[in-house]
Amino acid sequence: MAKELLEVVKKELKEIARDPRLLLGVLLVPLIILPVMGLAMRGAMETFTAERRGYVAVLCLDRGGWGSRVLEDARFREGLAELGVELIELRGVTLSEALSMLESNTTLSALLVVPENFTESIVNMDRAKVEVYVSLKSIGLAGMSKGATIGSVVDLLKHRLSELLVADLGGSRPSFFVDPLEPIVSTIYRGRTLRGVRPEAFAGLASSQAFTISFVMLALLVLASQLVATSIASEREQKTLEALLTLPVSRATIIAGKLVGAMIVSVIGAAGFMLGLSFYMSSFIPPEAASEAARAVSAVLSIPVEGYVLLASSVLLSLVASLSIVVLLASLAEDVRSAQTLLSLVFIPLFLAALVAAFTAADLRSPLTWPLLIVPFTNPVVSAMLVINGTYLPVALSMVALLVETAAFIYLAASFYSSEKVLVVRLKLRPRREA
Amino acid sequence: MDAVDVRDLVKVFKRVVAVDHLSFNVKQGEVFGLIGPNGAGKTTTLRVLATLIRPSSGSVKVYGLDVVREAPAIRRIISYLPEEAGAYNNLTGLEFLRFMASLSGVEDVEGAVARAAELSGLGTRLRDKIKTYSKGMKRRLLVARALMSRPRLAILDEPTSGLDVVSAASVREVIRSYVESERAAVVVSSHNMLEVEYLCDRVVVMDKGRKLVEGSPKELKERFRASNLEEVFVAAVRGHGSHG
Repeated sequence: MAKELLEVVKKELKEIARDPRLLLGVLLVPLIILPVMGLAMRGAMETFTAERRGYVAVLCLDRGGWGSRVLEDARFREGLAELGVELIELRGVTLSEALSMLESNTTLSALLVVPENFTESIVNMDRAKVEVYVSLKSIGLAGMSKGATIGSVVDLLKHRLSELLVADLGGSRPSFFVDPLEPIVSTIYRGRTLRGVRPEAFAGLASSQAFTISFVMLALLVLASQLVATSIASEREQKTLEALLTLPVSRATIIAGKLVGAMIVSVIGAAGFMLGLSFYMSSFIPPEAASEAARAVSAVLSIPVEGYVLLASSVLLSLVASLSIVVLLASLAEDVRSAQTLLSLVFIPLFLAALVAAFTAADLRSPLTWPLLIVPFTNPVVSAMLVINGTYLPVALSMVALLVETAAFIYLAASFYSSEKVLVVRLKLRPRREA
Repeated sequence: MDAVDVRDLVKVFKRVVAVDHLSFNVKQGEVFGLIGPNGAGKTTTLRVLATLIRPSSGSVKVYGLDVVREAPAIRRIISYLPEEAGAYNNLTGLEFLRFMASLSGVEDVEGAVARAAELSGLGTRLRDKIKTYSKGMKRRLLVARALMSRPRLAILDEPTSGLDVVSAASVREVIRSYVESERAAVVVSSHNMLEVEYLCDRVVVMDKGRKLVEGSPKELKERFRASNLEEVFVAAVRGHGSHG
């Protein structure tokens, strides 16, 4: 039995490894496309970060004193230094000359023009205008970063001007009047207080982790199901099934060999997917930018070893149970195309349910949780959410149900293969063709 | 003991009677032919012998073993070549033979593979993937696969189907020499009357699931006063009233 099983698994692996259609899904997307997208994204983010540091030209035409007072203010300059922006003051030039300089000089991010009536407006307590010109050489992230740079400079200018005005009114601590509140928001999660972590930031990070895990789980299930369905249906399509069934080897061994072969390739594929995806996700946040808060959040959301063991066992069981159902479905199909169509008809609603489950069903009070836990296709997603939450008991209990389901489905699949139905039943599903 | 003993075999698919009270027996060392028009029930009969489908009624035994109750034991001594059999396209010929041999219950897998390699006559092409083979090469590979485990009963459905004249003659020689060297039994179905006359010691002509006539090609030719088996076949089927 073990030797024969090994032979079937070896043959399955060879067939899968040499099928370019299957390799495309397993290797090309996760290991090439995602990293390439990630590299492109990282390059763009670096450009974005680099573009934010730069030079801003200032043309001060103010006839009064407020313009130069605020522009030369030490705290304003300190703020600019923190932003990585250096002011270049233009003197003795007209507005049109300054604009030409902005267009021809690629190092300048923007031009800030303080008009002649700046001081006059302030003295009259009218809102003082400043003009900002940004020269875009290309569209995309560069435009966004230049806009962000000049936006920060203007905010800083406004803030400092406000402080100076309040100080002139006699306040000893102008910053207090301008901004009297300093909120410190903390999030409490599973008994741990994350000081300085806003709940929306925590929820955002948790959701992105939930999404990543759900995505990987679904990718694993889809990939494994496609492999098994293709393998089973191609036995019919390649006309090898009949001869295989007359060999002195049990039908359960043939099915188990196909399941194990598909699972090995799927686990490799899922690992590749995870690698590609993690690289892609990390492209958005350069490592040096990871804040203290983000580190605290990921420490809280990380899964301990026993959680991983439980999750891995649960995923493995769901995989076997799901694939046993796929064997039954694919056995009904006339050919590979019909099997894939049949699979997608059944899977699309189940996978949508699994995605919904990723965000709602981790709460045990939800009426969806238990039904989704005992369905093999949705179990991995809900289990992952529960394990992240540190709720292990429902996952362990659902494994008992999965074990029973697995045994039942494998028995059904083996019985189906042992009967003549496997040769007689034919389900042909093909898209209708235009005449 | 007969290699095959079929008594009153009936096989019904829903309301269609595929085999209707068929009886025949095959002796060890004999090549037995099932001939008949399309839909005569030949493939269904072969599938019952190969333990793939169960009789609706009647008794079918292979070397005394019942096809329903003792199917696993029968699978150890038979080999079945379906009419439209294929092979795993992404494996090489050698890998395919090794895989099938390892599941065929033979002790010397490499010996069986070497025997099949010789029977197939494919030489170094066995190292190439099967998807690069022509139809004739694939069929020779499959016939070699069917005989490599030295089955006591080989069930061959249209063994030369789709082959050119030279390849078909080569396959027939392989089957004939196998029977002579191994003293095995072969049940073969074919539309090619020349092939049946060359290969078979005895034949059954079937139509609509029923046996029309049975005997050696020589006996049948004498009985129908025919110069070849094709004339016997046409006369038997027309006499049955369905192809008038």
